[in-house]
Order: sequence, then C-alpha cells, then structure tokens
Amino acid sequence: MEIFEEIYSAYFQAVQKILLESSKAPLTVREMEELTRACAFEDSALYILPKLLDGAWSALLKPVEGGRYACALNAACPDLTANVPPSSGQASGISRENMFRNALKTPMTNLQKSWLKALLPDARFRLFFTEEMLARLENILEGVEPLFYQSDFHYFDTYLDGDPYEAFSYREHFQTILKALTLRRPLFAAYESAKSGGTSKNIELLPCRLQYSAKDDKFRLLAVGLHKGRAGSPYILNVNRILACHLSKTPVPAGFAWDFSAYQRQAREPVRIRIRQERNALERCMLHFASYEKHTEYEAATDTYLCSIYYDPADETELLIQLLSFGPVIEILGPEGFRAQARERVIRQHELFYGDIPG
Amino acid sequence: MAEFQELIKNFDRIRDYMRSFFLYGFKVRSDFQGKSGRTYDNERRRIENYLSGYIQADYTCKGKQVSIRVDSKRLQSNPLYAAWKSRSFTDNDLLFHFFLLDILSDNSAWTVSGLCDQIAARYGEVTDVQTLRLKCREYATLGILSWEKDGKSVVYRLASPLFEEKDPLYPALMHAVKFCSEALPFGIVGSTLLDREFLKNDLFSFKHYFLVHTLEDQELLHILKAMEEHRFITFLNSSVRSGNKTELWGLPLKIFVSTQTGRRYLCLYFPPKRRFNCLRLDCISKVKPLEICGDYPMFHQKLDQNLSHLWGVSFGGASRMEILCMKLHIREDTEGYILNRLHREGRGGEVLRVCADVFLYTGVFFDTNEMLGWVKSFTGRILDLQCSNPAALKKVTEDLERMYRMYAGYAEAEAE
Repeated sequence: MEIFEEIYSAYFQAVQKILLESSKAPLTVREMEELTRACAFEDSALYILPKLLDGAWSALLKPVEGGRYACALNAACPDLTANVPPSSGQASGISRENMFRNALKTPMTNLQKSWLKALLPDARFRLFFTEEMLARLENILEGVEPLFYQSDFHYFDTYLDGDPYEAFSYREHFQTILKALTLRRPLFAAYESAKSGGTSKNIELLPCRLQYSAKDDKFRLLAVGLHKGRAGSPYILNVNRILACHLSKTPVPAGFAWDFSAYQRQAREPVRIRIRQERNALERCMLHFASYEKHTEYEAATDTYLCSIYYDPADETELLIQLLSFGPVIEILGPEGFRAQARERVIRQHELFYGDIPG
Repeated sequence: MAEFQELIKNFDRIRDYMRSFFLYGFKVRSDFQGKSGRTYDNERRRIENYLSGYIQADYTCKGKQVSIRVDSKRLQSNPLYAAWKSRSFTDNDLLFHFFLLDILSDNSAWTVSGLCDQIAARYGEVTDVQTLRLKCREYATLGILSWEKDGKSVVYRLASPLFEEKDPLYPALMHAVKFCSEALPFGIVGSTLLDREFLKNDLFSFKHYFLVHTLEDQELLHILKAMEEHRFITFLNSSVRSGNKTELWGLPLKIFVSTQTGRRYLCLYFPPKRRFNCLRLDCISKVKPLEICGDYPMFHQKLDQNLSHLWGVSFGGASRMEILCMKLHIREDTEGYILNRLHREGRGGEVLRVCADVFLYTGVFFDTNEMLGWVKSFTGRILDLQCSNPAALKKVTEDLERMYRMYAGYAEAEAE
C-alpha cells in the first residue's frame, strides 16, 4: 500500500469541492479560486481553473449565465439525471442534500480501512466510543488487515504516570468533555488541584480544546472560566484530576470565539542559545526543539550556530531542564533572567560537588 | 525548459527539502550540495506554495535562508501532510476519477466498455478502453471499486460503504479520527479521511508534537510489511554525520519511538554482527523486502526480553549491564514534583529515600551513556554520582565542570 497516491491529492480535493458547491449553485471564477485555495495550495488555482474552465477537465463543468459555472456531473445534480439508465437504481428517498454530499465521496480505500482497524486496540481511540459502539466497529472492520500492530512500536521514554484511559470514571469524564466541546456547551467540573494540596473546587468552564501530550501521555482541557455569565481567565486542567463533570445550562456569552490560542502566551523574548559543533549537538538540538517555533543562523566568526527558541512562559522550567540536559555543547545566551536560572543551578551543582566556588 | 508544476512524481526529493527547511532552516541555496540550483529553486517554490502561512525567508551574508516556522502547540493539523497530497497525475486520471464516481454512484455495475459508452453519452468524451481498464484495475487494488464476473465479462461497481447513512457511529468515529490523525502512527491516513468529509480538527491541540516524522511514513510502511511477513530487508542508511550512504541488510523487529524528541528508530537484528541495533528511521530509504526468516519469533522474543534493560535505543558495548546511582537533594515538603520526576522519568529505576531530603536513584541498563542527558537535567541537585562505566561518569562530571566555567565565568566577568 502506498500513502503517496493521487487520489489523496489536494487537487482532487479542490476539484471535488468545486463540483459539490457548483452542483448546489453555479459559481463564479473568483469563488472557485477561493475554494481551490482553501483545499489545495497557494498557486493551485493557476493550474486547476484553466483546465476546468476550458481545458482538459472542462467536461466536469458547464458555463451558465452571468459568467458562472455549474457542475456537469449527473449524480451530483439531480436535475440532470434524465440521462441515467432506468436500471441504475437511483435510489429514491435520498435527499438532495445527501446526494450532493455523497455522490462524489470516494469510498474508503484499503489503506484508510486498514488504518482504522489498527487503531481499534488503542486505549486512546477507544475513549471516543461506548462498548456497544466498539463492538459494532469491530464487527464492521472484521476481515480488514490492520496497517500496524500496537506491538510493532516500543515507546521507550513516555512518562510513567500517564492517564488511566481504561478507568470507567476517566472514560465517562472524557466523553462528557467531548460532548461539551462538540456541542459548544459550558461545562461544570469538580477539579482536584495539585497546587492547592489536593483540595477540590467547582468551576464552570467554556471548553475550547483537549490538548494531548504523547510525552506526558495525558490529556489536558484548555478552557476559559465562566463567571456570572462572562468569560474569565484561561484554565488548563488535567483531565485525570477532574473528579466529576456535567454539561451546564448557562448560556454561552455572546461572541465567545472558542479559540484558546487567544489566551496562549509567548514569552516576550525567545531563549537564545549557542550550539557548538561537537557531539552532533546541532542535529540533536534541531530535532529535540522541533516542537517549538525556532530560528537558527550560522555564525561564521565563532563557527557556531545561534538559535532562538520561542516558548510559552508556562513551559519555561521544562525548556530550561531540556537545555541543561545538553550540557556544555550549548550555551544559553539570554534573556538574562533565563540564563541566570541556568547559572544558578550550575553554580549550586558545583557547590554540591566541591563544597565551594574556587576563587 | 519545462514549466514549473506544483505537483511532484517523486516523494524523496520533497522529503529531503521539507525536512531541511523545517528542522534546520539555516541552509542557503549553496548548502544544498549535489543538487542543481534550479532543483533547489523548484523545490523551494513548491514548499512555499504548500506551506504558504508557515514560511519565513531571511537574508544572511551567505544568502537567502528559507525556514518553516511552526509552534506545534497552536496547530490544528500537521502542515507537512501537504507533501503527501502533492502527487502529480495525468489529465485522464482526474477526469476518470470523477466520471467513475458519478456513473457508479447509484450502485450500478458496468463493464469497462460500458463505462466508455457512458462517458461518451453523458459527458461527450471519447475514452481509450485500455486506459480506462487500467484505471478500474488500479481502483480495485486501492479498494475504491469492487469487481465481479458477469459471464465472460468483468463488471465494476463502487466498493460498499463501511457505514450506512446517518449511522450514529460515524460522527464519533470522525471525532476519534480528528485526534488520531495527529497523535497516532500514520496520522496522514486519518487526514485523508477527514478530507473525504471536508472536516478539520477543531477539538484537539497537541503539546510535544514532532511534525517532521510524517515524512518517514512510506518507508515505515514498507518496513512494517516486512515485519508482518517476517522478512529480512535491505535498505540505504545515510550517516547523519558524514552524509555517507551505506546499503545494509537485517531483520526488522520493532520501531522504537521517543515521545520526548519525536525520533523513531528501526530496531533490527544484524546477522553478521549477531546483535540487535537501532537506526534512525529518518536516515533510512529504499527499503526492499528479502527472504523470510524462519526464526523470526525467536529473535522477537529475545528482543522483548531485552527491552527492560534499555534506557533508550542502545544495546551497549562489551560490558552488558551498567549501573548508575544518583543521590539527589529534594526538599520533601515543597519539592514533591521533583520526586515525581524521578518516578515517572526514571524508566523503572529504583528510588530510595536515604534520609530527610535525600533520595537515591539507581538504574541498571545496557548503556548508561544514554542516561547522561537526563542526569544533567537535575543539575543543581546532584549530591553524588556513581557509575560502573567510568567513561560515562567522567563525561558527565566534566560536562558539569565545563558548564560551571561557562556560566559562572560569565557571571564573574559581568560583575567586573
């Protein structure tokens, strides 16, 4: 099986979108350009539209009045079904909307089915379903060969205190949160805060995203507090510390965007590091910090690389210990406060080993 | 001179360039040795098109450097999946795709010549029977079409859908796919499932997300196939340090994954050396299956027996097991989170309370060299360090000393 197949191409996706939309109402060229940009790449309209309008693919569209184009395919356009042979079982009872949606949908490929089958044993995948649903899914995918087996992979450095995905209460809370997220409804949660010594508190929240970390093997709920009907401060809650939760009937504040990124911060200055060309440090650093936004330049005068790492202040300690783990092959240059934290730890370490700082 | 095209036939080249722009981002045109300037220009332009919102160009004394800048915590979906959705095709490929879906959407079945007639009648296009036959066979292999014999003829119809219309299972499945398309192996396949429905992930975000490794997925698929069939493989391995490419062969047994760095490794048994070894997946290309190994379950079992002795991916050198003991100062009343770190990050090592605020971690692994990064992450707390591998101990203590000179020296200079 191949992943790099034309049927998954962004161009196919763009043309499909144009055909579907133009089967509902004829489109202008400008509208087709926008659809293409949304489904494919920056310049794709330059390649796709000439072919659709008067080139090799022009059989798919037909010009109508007002410089607009309509879908020329029969099944997607019920009005044009006169050409379909009577034997064709054009099923009655299928709504026009469903026809639009389904007519041009490619059946799932073997690769896609096989991937779904491989997910079935995964405890995180199973969180999304009831036991009855899982049994049905297993039945539906019976006979499909999985793309991979869980045992093919060995995750050697995942933290050992990951979430208990198979615990009944965890599954129940996860599904309630998911419901609140999909329905865009506020949530009441009783939360056990680690910082407040294990005491619990009740919070009303507007859930924005579930954040997953493979390293921590944990889900966290990114939410905004709801206080007296108004959106308040952002919250990041470990799902495993939620003791109970249910949907709230409080109305969602008008104009609330459900966008947590507005609450995510970035430190005013990036951490700047110098990477020395020893022990393959450059390659290791680039891979290690690839999840952060970063910018790297070569400095000819010192034959080293200077890298700026942009980070959320909430992750400062994590980033600091990651940088220290590289030892002397990298040097934290700034900001001064960040460098000072590294310096303090290094000096303290020297004192622990040698008892004093030599003069 | 050939006109520039956004789409590509060969994935390997875009894989190399995209990886370089994403991971390093400091290379300029002249750094891409072995490739013509025109090749660089075309690949750069393609990547700029695929990832237009994420590209940054900077001008240095060496020239223009292009980088892909992404904060993975803010992403809905891996932008590098675009590379997988850029395969070129012929004009007929796209036309046939939509003609076939349109004609067969009513669950009818047609012979290839019948399909040719339908295409002529419905869309006024004259089609070569042989070309359409090849397309139907290709789609049957992909699972899009099913076929059956009708007398002497073969008739094709659309493959049966897995789910009925309005099945309540389907929305739940799509929610799961939104998560799995970013968090589980071969997430790109999930992304194509979302594309089928014109859906995007609007439920999840990801921390510690290492996007670049999707680019290894095709090679990984070939390796997993060989593992399933218990086959040896041959492949090209590129050295990260020298850039040299070597053809190797071995028995693929497992994929090792680091969730902390995103790196993935292929663990093989190398018969000539009679030992296990791990190689970085992103350095492997041109995987080809060889003969079946009759003793595959035995090698697999031996590897499984060894897993608990591995800190990371190294099976060590001559001395089979090494011991590292680290005594740490942790304030019990206020620094429980550090103690938690020892337990959750210690990979099964023993943690003992020696006395008030002093804890001893002991780990026994094949290669303590691999632990040194983790040890240094406790800088400022290490009371004592002992290791049965003197070279590893020397390395880490010298590192801590160099760090002291680097940072404390700077402090003194500043004070002056």
